[in-house]
Amino acid sequence: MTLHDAARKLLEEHKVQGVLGYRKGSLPFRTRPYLFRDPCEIEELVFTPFCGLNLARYLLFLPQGIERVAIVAKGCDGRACVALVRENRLRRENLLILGVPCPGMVDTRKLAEWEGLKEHEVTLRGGEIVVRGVAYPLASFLDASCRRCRYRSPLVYDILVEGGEVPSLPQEDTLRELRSLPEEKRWEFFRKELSRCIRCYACRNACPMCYCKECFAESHKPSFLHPSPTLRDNFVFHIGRAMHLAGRCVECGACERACPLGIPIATMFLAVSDTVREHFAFEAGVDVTAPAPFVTYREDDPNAFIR
Amino acid sequence: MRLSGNGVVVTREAFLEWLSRGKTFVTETVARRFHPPFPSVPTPKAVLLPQHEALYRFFWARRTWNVHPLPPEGTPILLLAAPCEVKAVTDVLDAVFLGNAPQDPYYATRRKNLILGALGCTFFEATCFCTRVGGHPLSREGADFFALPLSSGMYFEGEGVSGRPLASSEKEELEALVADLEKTAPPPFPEKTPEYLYEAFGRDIWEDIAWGCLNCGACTFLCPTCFCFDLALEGRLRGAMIRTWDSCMFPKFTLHASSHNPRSHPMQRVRQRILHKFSYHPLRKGVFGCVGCGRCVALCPVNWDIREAVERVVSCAL
Repeated sequence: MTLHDAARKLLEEHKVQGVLGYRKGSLPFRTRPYLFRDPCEIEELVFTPFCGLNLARYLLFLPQGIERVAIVAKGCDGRACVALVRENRLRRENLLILGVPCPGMVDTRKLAEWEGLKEHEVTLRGGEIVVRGVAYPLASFLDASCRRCRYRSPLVYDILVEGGEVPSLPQEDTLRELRSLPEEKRWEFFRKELSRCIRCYACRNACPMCYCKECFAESHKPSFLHPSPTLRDNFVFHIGRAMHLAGRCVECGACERACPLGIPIATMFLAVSDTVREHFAFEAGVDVTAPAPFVTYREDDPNAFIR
Repeated sequence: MRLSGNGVVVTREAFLEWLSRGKTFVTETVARRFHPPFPSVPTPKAVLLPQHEALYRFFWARRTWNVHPLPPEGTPILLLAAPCEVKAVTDVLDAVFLGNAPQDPYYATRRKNLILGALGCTFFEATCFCTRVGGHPLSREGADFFALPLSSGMYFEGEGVSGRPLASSEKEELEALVADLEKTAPPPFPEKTPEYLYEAFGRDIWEDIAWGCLNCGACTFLCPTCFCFDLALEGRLRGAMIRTWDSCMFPKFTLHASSHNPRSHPMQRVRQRILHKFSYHPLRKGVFGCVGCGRCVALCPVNWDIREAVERVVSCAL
C-alpha cells in the first residue's frame, strides 16, 4: 500500500482521528508538520528527503478531541514513538505507526549554498541526489545523524508503506574524526561551537524526548543557570540536556536541524548514545520491553558503583 | 523610485576602503549577498541591544549593599545593513527606546555612536516581504548613506565619498532594476490589517494557526525588531543586574509572582507575537512592528510562516 492510500483509508474508516505527516512548506525544499483530519487533504501529504523534523514531538501536544492518531514515521520517528511508549507518555493502542523506509534526510544548509536553487532542480535518483542535472552521492548531502543511522525503517510499526526508495548507504562513524583529536582540541571545538549558542531552545523544543513541563534551564527556584547566554551557562544547558538524554536520545538529529545557527549540537548527543551503547548494550527506542539502563537496579550488577 | 538618482559611482574597492576607516560590521544578510571583508552580526539589534549586558554591579560588605552603576558605553561603529534592517532600527527600536521619556540611556548612547548604512537589494528572496509592510528594497530612509552594487561598481548616495556621476548605461541599469523589483514585489497587506487583527483576538482560528509552532525563541531572538528583555540578578552576595533578551514564545515570559500565567497556552503566545507586530505596534506607533526581512521564516525549524498567519486572519475578517 502506498503512503497516501494507507493514510486515506485510515481516516475514511475512522480508525484514527488524525494522521500526523508532512506537507509542502512555503519555501523551496522545506516541509512542515501537519495533522491531516480530512481524507480529502491527504493529496497534500508528502514524504521527501526534506522531512527532517521528528514528528513524534507532536504526539505529546495533540489538539483536543484526537484520541487515536496515526504517525508517518521514518526510522528515528519510530524509535521516538517506542521510547515515549516506554516512558508511559503515550499509550501504544492509541498510536498507529505508519512506517516509511527513509532514504536519509538532506542537510538543507548545504543546498542553500547554491544561489537561487529552485525546488524542481533537485531530484533523488537511487543513491544519488541530482542538483541542476549533476548527480552527487546522497551521502555527501546527508545530515550527520543520517550518515550514521542504524535503523532507516521503523522497527515497530502497524503498517509498513511500500515503494520507498531506500538507497543502501554505508553506516559511517561521523564522530571518528572528532574522537581522534586530543582532548584540548575537542574542548576547543565545543567551546567554539557553543559560544555561538543564543539559547533560543529550538533544539530542546524540537526534541521528541524533551517533554518536561518545566525545563531545568528555565527553572527559577532553584536556578541552575543564568539567562544570559555566556559560554559557561551554555555549557551547563547543553551538557545538562545531554545528561538527561543519555540512554533516551533516539539519535534523530532533529535538534541539529532545528538550530537556527547551524551549531552541530547533535554531536554531543550522538557521542552520549555511543557511550550508552558501549557500556550498557542499550539503544533507546529499539525495544519496548528492554530495561532502561539508568532506571534499572540489579543486585548482581557488574558495576560496583551502581550497587 | 525611492532613490534621488543624484548619487555617484565608485569602485567596489574604493567603497570597501571607505567603509574600513573605523570599526565596521555588516549584517549577515549583507555578508551573504555582498561578501565584504568585515565581521558580521545577525541584525543591527545585536549591536544596539546586546543579548546580555550588566546594568550595575553589587556586593555585600560591612553589613551593607554596595552598588556600582555601570554607565552606558558606546564606541563609534559603522554598520552596513539591508534597507529592512535599517527600517527596524529607525521605525521600531528607536520608537521604543527613544520615542518616549525616559529614554533608555544604554540604547541612546550606542545609537548616537552608530553610523548606519543601507545596502540596497537587487532581488527578492523567497522569504522577503518588505514591500508587504511598507518597506522597499531600495529605500534609503533613515540610513546615513546608501549603496547599491551595479555591474560597473557601486552606486553611492551620502556624504564623504567622491566619485563620478552616473553614466547613461548605469542610469538605464538602475531604472531596469527598479522596474524589475516593481514587477516582483509582494503586494502590501490591506490597509486595515492592524484593525482586522485586533478584532480577531477572540476568534477560534488561533489554535489552528498556531499548530506546528514549537514555541522556541529562534524567530524572536533573530528578529531585527523584537526588543523584549528581562532583568535578572546574577549572583547572590556579589553579582550584577543583567539585562537579557527575552521572548514572548517562552512560558516564563508572562509568569506572575502569584504563579498565575496569563499566557500559559502556546497558542496565546503565538497570537501575541502576531498581534504585537501587526496590530498593537502599528495602532500605537503608525508603522508595522515587522520590517519583512523574512529571517523568522527562513530560520524557523518547522517552516511556520508568519506571512501566512497574517493572511489567514485578514482573509477571515474580509
